[in-house]
Order: sequence, then structure tokens, then C-alpha cells
Amino acid sequence: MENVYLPHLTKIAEVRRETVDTLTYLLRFTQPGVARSFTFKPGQFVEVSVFGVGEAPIGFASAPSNGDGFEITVRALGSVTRALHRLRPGDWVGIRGPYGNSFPYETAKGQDILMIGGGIGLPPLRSLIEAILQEREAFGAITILYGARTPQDRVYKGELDRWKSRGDLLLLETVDVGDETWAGSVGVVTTLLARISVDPSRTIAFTCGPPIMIKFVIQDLLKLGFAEDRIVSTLERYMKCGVGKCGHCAIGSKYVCVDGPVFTYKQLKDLPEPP
Amino acid sequence: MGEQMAFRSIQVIQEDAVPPWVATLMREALVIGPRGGGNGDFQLAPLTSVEDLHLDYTHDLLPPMRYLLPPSEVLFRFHNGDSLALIPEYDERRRILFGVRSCDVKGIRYQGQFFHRDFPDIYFSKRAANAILISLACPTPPLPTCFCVCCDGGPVLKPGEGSDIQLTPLEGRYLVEVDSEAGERLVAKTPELFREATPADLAERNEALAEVDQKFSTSAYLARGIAKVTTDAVPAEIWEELAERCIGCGGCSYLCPLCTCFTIVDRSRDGTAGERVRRWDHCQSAGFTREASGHNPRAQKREQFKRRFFHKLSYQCLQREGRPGCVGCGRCVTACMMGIDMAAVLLRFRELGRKPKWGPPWAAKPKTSP
Amino acid sequence: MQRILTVCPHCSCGCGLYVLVERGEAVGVMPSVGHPISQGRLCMKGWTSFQHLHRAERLDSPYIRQNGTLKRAGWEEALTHLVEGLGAVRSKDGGQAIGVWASGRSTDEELFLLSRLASQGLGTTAVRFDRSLQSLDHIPASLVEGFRAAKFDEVQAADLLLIFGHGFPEHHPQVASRILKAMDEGTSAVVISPYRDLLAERAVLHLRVSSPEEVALALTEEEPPGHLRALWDEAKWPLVIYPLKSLPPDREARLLRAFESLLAKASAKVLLLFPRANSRGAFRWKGGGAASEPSGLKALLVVEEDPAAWNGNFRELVRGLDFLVVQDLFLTETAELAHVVLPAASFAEKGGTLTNTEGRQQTLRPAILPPGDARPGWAIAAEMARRLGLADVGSTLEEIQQGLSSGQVQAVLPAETACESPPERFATLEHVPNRLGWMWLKDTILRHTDDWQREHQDRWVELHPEDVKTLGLRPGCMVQVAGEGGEFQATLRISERVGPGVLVTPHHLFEGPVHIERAK
Repeated sequence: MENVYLPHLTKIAEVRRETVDTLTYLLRFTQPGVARSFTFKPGQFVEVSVFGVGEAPIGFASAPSNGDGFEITVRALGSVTRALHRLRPGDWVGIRGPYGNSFPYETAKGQDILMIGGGIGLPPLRSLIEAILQEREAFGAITILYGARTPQDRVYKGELDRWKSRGDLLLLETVDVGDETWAGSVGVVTTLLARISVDPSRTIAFTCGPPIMIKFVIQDLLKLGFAEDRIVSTLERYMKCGVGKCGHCAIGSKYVCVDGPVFTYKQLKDLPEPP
Repeated sequence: MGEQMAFRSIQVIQEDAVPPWVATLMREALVIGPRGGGNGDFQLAPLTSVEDLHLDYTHDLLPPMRYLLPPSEVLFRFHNGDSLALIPEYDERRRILFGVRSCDVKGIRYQGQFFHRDFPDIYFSKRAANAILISLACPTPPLPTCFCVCCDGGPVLKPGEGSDIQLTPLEGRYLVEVDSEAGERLVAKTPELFREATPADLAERNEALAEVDQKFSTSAYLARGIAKVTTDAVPAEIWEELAERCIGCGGCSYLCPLCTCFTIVDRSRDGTAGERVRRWDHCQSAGFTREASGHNPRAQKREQFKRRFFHKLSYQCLQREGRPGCVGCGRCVTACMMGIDMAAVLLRFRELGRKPKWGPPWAAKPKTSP
Repeated sequence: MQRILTVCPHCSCGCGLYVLVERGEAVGVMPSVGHPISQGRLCMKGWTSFQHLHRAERLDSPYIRQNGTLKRAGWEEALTHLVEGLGAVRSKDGGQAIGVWASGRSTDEELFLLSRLASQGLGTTAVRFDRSLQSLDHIPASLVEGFRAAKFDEVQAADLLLIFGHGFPEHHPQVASRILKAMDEGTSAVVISPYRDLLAERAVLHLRVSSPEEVALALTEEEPPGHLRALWDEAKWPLVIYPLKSLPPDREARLLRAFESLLAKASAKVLLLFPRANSRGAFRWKGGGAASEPSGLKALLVVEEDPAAWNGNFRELVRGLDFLVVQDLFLTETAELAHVVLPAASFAEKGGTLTNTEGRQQTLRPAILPPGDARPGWAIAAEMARRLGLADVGSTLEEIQQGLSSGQVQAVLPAETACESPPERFATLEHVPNRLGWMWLKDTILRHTDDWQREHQDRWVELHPEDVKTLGLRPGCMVQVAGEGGEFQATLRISERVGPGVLVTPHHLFEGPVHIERAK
């Protein structure tokens, strides 16, 4: 029997700064066997260990097929993520996972894709975007809407420019508060919805971001005519064990770490407690 | 589905033959049996000699499942030297849990299913695999706080419900129902202490259990509670009224044979060496669901209180776990300082829509003096 | 899993609990069912009382300050340095310049030894045991000892409960439990407090006043008639309940004198609730002296307390000492400023006795070994006493306990010094001690109890809606609260549980009226 509480060991291969409080890490397993066999799907997460401090659940931020380790993007918020930010390339990081369910990838094939991300909600979407772009022909029209608080708070600044310059998708950005470097739109991300045209009956909408943003995005998507099971989001909860045992993420009869964190709006509505 | 399960054998052991039998068991494994503690407390604790055995006991406030899922345990130790070493700590000591009440056996069964699902828990599994349960049925309720008959929690087990051997007290002797190979081996160690049960023995047992329902003083039947909680038919004011009294001590969860929640913490002086520990936790604590950002989706006490009862009584959870989340052991009734235990809450649900009577915890304000 | 029966180290209820031990480590606690106080129940503090025991930051060796930093040292070196340091202060400034401050958790044996050490070894009466009882003189013995002083199980027997105060579920949960049960079963209760809490809502009468002592005094006079008088006269077995240190000492003294008068009613009883696990023990040792006019101290021996964490005044005092010795389980804020730090064993690692608020003396039993070189407080005190010249101090716990029961220690209590009246700007609102959860945040054990820290992450204060409007504040905004001991920021909560003109704040931070304004 595997010990699901015992992390695999990775070392930090690279650290990239995204914003003043957000870093992206490239992690590589030190055991070749694990490195070879480790797979995951967009939407899943890992429990990241800083030994001596604790664990934090972080979603995958890179596409699964990289094979050469994987990336996570971490904002320094609590004790574990703050300790993680003090680590350097070469330092140990424990990884348990992959846990959780994943974005409905296969069922989205042949459909148009609409992604709406806010701030630190972009990392799990990036995993999905990169995977989709590797199989671009399998999907219909792709529209990505991204909103950050300020231009400085945009994560994946490089990728955003690269995606924008591709001819095969539409990427619109906005910030809540602009500055002198920003020539783009200013306003909350829902304002971008008015500038796009989608066919709700053949589009799957994915949205990740702060709870308040998700609430308004879902409202607007419903107004546009999206069916409740065509709106996909991720539910935030304090996840401790990641394996559906410790009880912290339990809501109703579901465990966010096992039955989620990806849920359709239809499923979220049926939960006995508000998300 | 499949044939009706039956006990492998039904035997009888005389009361005075039990200590010699336990003495042989003590040579086999660590025997955890009923003994006295301080202040007249009973404990299901390791026996150091047969004289410690106290079969005429009520129950251990700490449920015996805590031998399989301890209040805290080291998951692994880590050591950051040339390389980082993670050393897990397992407990594979052989234990015989002797005198476990039926409600607790059901609880252990529930825990086993829970910990085995999806991602099997190796720590629990190893302890469970090395534990043999010899249970003790209850023809009369051991304590006035017992209400297992209301919860499919006892007082007697059927074949296949998780006990290796079930003892039922009769006049001067015990009925011995063997329900597993491991149980058979333990009886076979001292065959001279046992004899086959006769129809008369079985008749005495049946008679003792026939009217058992009437002997329980608490009538907190789960069914209405399940219905009300599943359909969210309990008004918010009632949850508020109950939760207002909760001081978040966690006693109800720590002592519940079916509660499984835990937290995981790291202990280390400077990060180079230390351990990761798992420790019991409870959903009545304000910080149970608080996220790193500080946001707490279940910040209100009444929401936390409601959660406990949803988890234990709702049909959705019953389906997932295979049985309701309460066996009526009554430990929460003992443990709750403010009178809002499972039995009190179930009785409160029964009063919904009626004027509350005097006496029970939810009673309206005392009448004012003239 | 072994179970060792001992006593909870937190409040003065004195619950009996078992420390659960597995392979030499405390893995949990559970209540004793047969114990007359706990009866199978504990509060959150009791249930989590094992969590601090195995924290990695536990002090496991003495430390001596060398060249500005604390360095590990052996016991011999540390004790020698300690004796030299205190001796130097004594020679220069006299014994009275040395203070000995112990904690509400210190056992009877530790308090006994520290009293002797202070008076005979150091020549000082500047002794303070249990900071929450700065002065103990105003507590009449008749209310604490003797048959008029009620026990917990008498709460059920009363037919009228006169409850002066609030916050019982947080501070004396076993009493709150018994009061609630009595109310459920029909006992009439009157609550006299500025805060409308769970008990007040269920009371027959809630007198929402900020001066409970006036209510008590009025009751001792024949006039005026009223609901309270009617209830009091009608009651056959009334019980007065009051948690000590809910009021400033002078007002509390008036209240307690009123209680004495109320005992003129033949069958009336009083249940005074001491604050901490051994405050009642400290009362016996009369270790209190008027906060020993702190400014006169040049050296301090602090035993398992953290004055620098209480408020700014004490932090300044501690910084200004010539010599500071701290004995504790963790490197507290005070210990960080010390010249000598001594590692102490926890409640689960030593023997001794604690006296609960009823006067019940209970035995602590060690369940695990202390970490590294940490030692039980009684052993440290005995060794210090010996080195300060007391030859007849016992070397085992039993010997010390024998000495305790036979010896009498006369502590000479210096006269009380009056408090300075606070500057005008602070006299804005009547300050009511917040006896609610997060007040305990500065407690050394609870600071190192994970679950407790998780519970109380928000600092908050409560104001009545009228005051929020008058002061131009908004519920949920950050406010700055300032008082004699310092200032802090907290979130403002609006509540009708408080009356107008009353601010509920953590009382351990302040000794006097407070001022509140929107945080900048």
C-alpha cells in the first residue's frame, strides 16, 4: 500500500518572478522512476511541502506533456507559501499528488472555449491553455479574458504577449486600475464580456479567480444564455490532506480535494453551503 | 446478496474461565481490556496482569478506535543532511481489543471503510490489520446516556459486522460467537475453557435481548433527524439557538467513535530535522475552514454547528459512508458542557413546531417572577 | 497508550484530565469522568493543553547573556551567574529593589519556595504571584474560606443565582455549564453586567449596568424596592457568583464588601472565581504586594510569566532593569530581554499541587519527561533558595511538601500605592474588560497552542450602534484603541450586547479608561 502522506522529493530547478508577491517554480523530481511516471491533468493540484513548515495545496500551472518536471505559481499568503518564497534553486520541495479532479478536457473537444481569469486565477487556466494549444485543431474558437488589479499584478506577462500574438485565439486583457505603462482597457474583467461574441450552446466557459469575481462572471454568463453545466469553475477551500480524509475541505457530502476542485456551476448550486 | 452470514461457531465460556483465557491472550499480543482508572473512571487500556481486568465496566470515554487512529501520531520524520531523508513511522504492534462495546465495533467498521476509500490510509490500515476485536454485547445499557437502539448502533452485533468474537453476558457465563478465523484461533488456544452453546444458552440470550429497547432511557431516534437535516428543514433560528451555546471545545468530535477529522502540522526547530504529525481536529472550531488568505467560508458558529449534524445525519452522507454518522454511544452527551449533544439536538428536532417543554436544554426563558 | 491523571493548567476550575502518552510523547488529553469538576468535560483550553508540550521551541537549556546575546550554558554556570547578579543588585540598591514575580500557574510548592527565597534569601517583599491578582488584600477571607464560600455543585442547589459579570463560558466554563444547566432546570438567575451574553439572555432579570458594585450595595440597604429586591427577599438559598479581577481593585473591594453584607441573609452563599489554575494557591501565600511600585525595581526574577508582553509600561520597566532572570518554557518576550534564562518543565512534566477556586488541592502528576535540561519549577526554586542561603530547603518534592505544611511564611505587605489618574484624553468611554476569547492571546501556553492561535486570528472590539454613530465610525473598520498600557489596532464590531457608552476591550492590556478612534 502506498503511503499517500509521504511526499516525493523535488528540487527547485528554476524560479521566475511574476509579480511582487508571486513566483513561478519549475520543479523536477529527483527520483528518475517518479519523474518518468508522474502525470497529471489540468485543474489538478499538488500538496507542496516545505519541510518543517507544512504543506499548501497549489494547482498545476504548466501543461501535462512537458515531461521535464512541472510548474506551479505561488503567491505568498500564509506561512507555507511565505517559507516557499525564501527557497532557492537547488532547495528541496516535497510534492504529493496529483490530487483532485480535472477540467473537462476531452468533453470540451470540438467545442469553443471561453476562459475568464482574474489575478492569481490564471495559473490553473494556463495549464489548460497550454494543453489545449498543443492540440489546437481539436478545439473550436478560443477566447481568453484576463483581468488583474493593476498592470504590475499580471502574472505570466511573457505568455500573455505570446498568446496575444498567436493568430488562432482571441486574448483580451483589462486591469482594475491602470498606470502610465498601461495602454489597454481599464475595468473589471466582466466588462470584457461585452466585447466578445460567443455561442453559449457550443461553448464551454472556464473561470478561475477571486470568489467575488467568479460570482459576477457566472451571473453574466448565465445572462448570456450559458447552461449551468457549461460553466466550469474551481472551488477554493482549505485543503490539508488532499486525499479526502482530514475533513477540512468537506462541503455537503463532497470533498473538494477528491470531488473537486473543478465543479460546474450546476454542481456548485446544489451544494448545501455557499462556495 | 449472497447467503445469510452466520457465526462460525457459538460457544460458551464460564465467567471464572475468562481470566485464564485472557492470560493466554496476553501471551499472544498486547491485550487492551477494561480496567479501572483514577476517580472511578473505566478505561479500555493495556492490561499488565489479569487482575487488572474489570469486565463489569460501562465504557471508556475515549473510544477504542483511538488505538487505530490515535489523538496524534508522527507520520514521518525528516532529516536534511547530504540528502533529504523522510522516514515514516508505522505502528504494527499486535493488539487484542477485549471488551469493545457493539457501538464501538460499528464505529471501527465505519472508520475502516472511510480510511480505505479512494486513497487508503496506510497508518490506519496497519493498526487495523494488527488488531483483533473481542466485543461485549449489552443486554442492558451500560450507561443512562446510551442510545444505540435509536441509531442502529447496537446493542448486539450480527455476523459480519466487524467483531472477531462477540461475547454476550448471560447468567454466570458468556455466549461466545466466533466471527472470524482470527477469532477461531484465539478460542482454539484453550479449548478446555469453552463448550458448545446449547439451545438453552441461545434462548437465554434471546430473552435478554428481546426487550432491550425498553431498557434504554433516551429516545432520540435518528430517523426524524435524518429527514430534517437532509431536507434542510431545520430553521436557521434553531441552529442559532443551539450553536450559541457551543464553546467549541471539540469534545463531541474527539470522543465520537465515528469522527475522523485531523490536521497535519510540522515540528522542527530550524528546518533541518523534524517531524510531520497528524493530530485530531474538529469542525466546531472557528478556524477549521479558514484559508491562508484569512477568508473563512464557514465563519458563523451556527454554520459550523449545522455542518456537524449534516455530516452525521444527512442522507447524502449516509449514502457515501454506508450508515448514519452516529452509533448512539452517548459520549457526546457526557462530554458536552452546554447540553447540545446529539441526543439533545435530535430531541430538539422532535420539538420543532411544538412548544418546547420545560427541562430540556432548549427550554424557553424561565417564567418571570411576579 | 498510557493515561496519567493530572490537572489542567489553565483556569481555576481545576478539571481532572488524563495526559495520553505514547512512547514517551504526550499525544493528547481527555477528561476524567469521575472527577467532581470535569465530569467528563473539558473546554477548548483543556482539550488542547498538550499541544505546547512538544513544540520544537521548548527551552531545553539555560542561557546566559554574553556580549549582548543569549548563549547556551549549563545549570551550574547559570545559577552561579544568577546568584552573583542578584547579589550585586542587593548590595547596591538593597533587597527591596529585587522583585519576584511568579505566575498563576505556579504550584503551591513553587509559591512556598519563592516566598521563602524572596524574604529570607533576597530580603525583599516585592513579591507578586499571579499578575491578575495584583493586590489580594481586598478579598475578605470569609468569602473565600468557610462554609459560606460555595462549591461548584452548590450552583444546582441554589434557588436564585446572582451573577455579577459575563464571559463565564470563556473563563470558567465548568461554572457556566452548571449555571446554564440550573437555568434550564428552572433556577432563576439575575445577571448584573454591562454585556448581554448567553446567560444574561436567559436570565429572569438582566441589569445592564457598568457599576455592578452599586447594585450590590443598593441591595444591602433596605431601599429601594424593585424586582431584584423582590427576588432576593423571596429566595431561600441565593448564590452570588463573581469572577475576581473583572473590576479595578478599588471597585472590586467595594463589591466584595457588599457581598459580605449580603451574607447577613442566613442561607446566602458566595462563589468567587479566581482567575488562574493556582490563583487560589497564590491567595493563600498572600504573595501580592501593591504591584511592588515597579519603578523602584532594579532586578526581577520572573517565573513563567511574560510581563513584557502585557503592555508597553511593563516592557519599559523590564528593559530598564540591571538584572533580569526569567524561568519559562519558551523564549518569551520577557525572556528575550533577560540576563539569565532557565528552562522550566511544563505542567505535564512535574509534580506538585494546584488549588482550584473552591480550595480543592489537587495533585499534578508528571506524564512525560521535560525536554533536554529543563527542570520542574519546584526543583529550580529549591536550588536557587539553597544557593541564596536557605540551608533547610528539601531536595525532593515530598520533603518540600512536608516543609510547606509545617512552615508558615509571613509575607510583609507594603502599603498600597494609589494609581495615577489617567490623562484626560483617555476618559472617553467606560472600559469594560473583554472576557472573550482572544484576550488569552498573550498567555504563554496558549501562544504556543496551534489550535488556539487558529481560533483567534482576528482582534476585535465591540461598540453599541449608537456609539458607532456618535464617534463617526463604521462597523468593520479598523480602529485604534489606546489606554494606559499601550495601543493596538482591531476591527470594530457592532453589537447590542454592550450598552451605550461602553467599550469592550481586552482587559489585560489596560488598567483604566480607553480611547478609541479610527485607525489611520
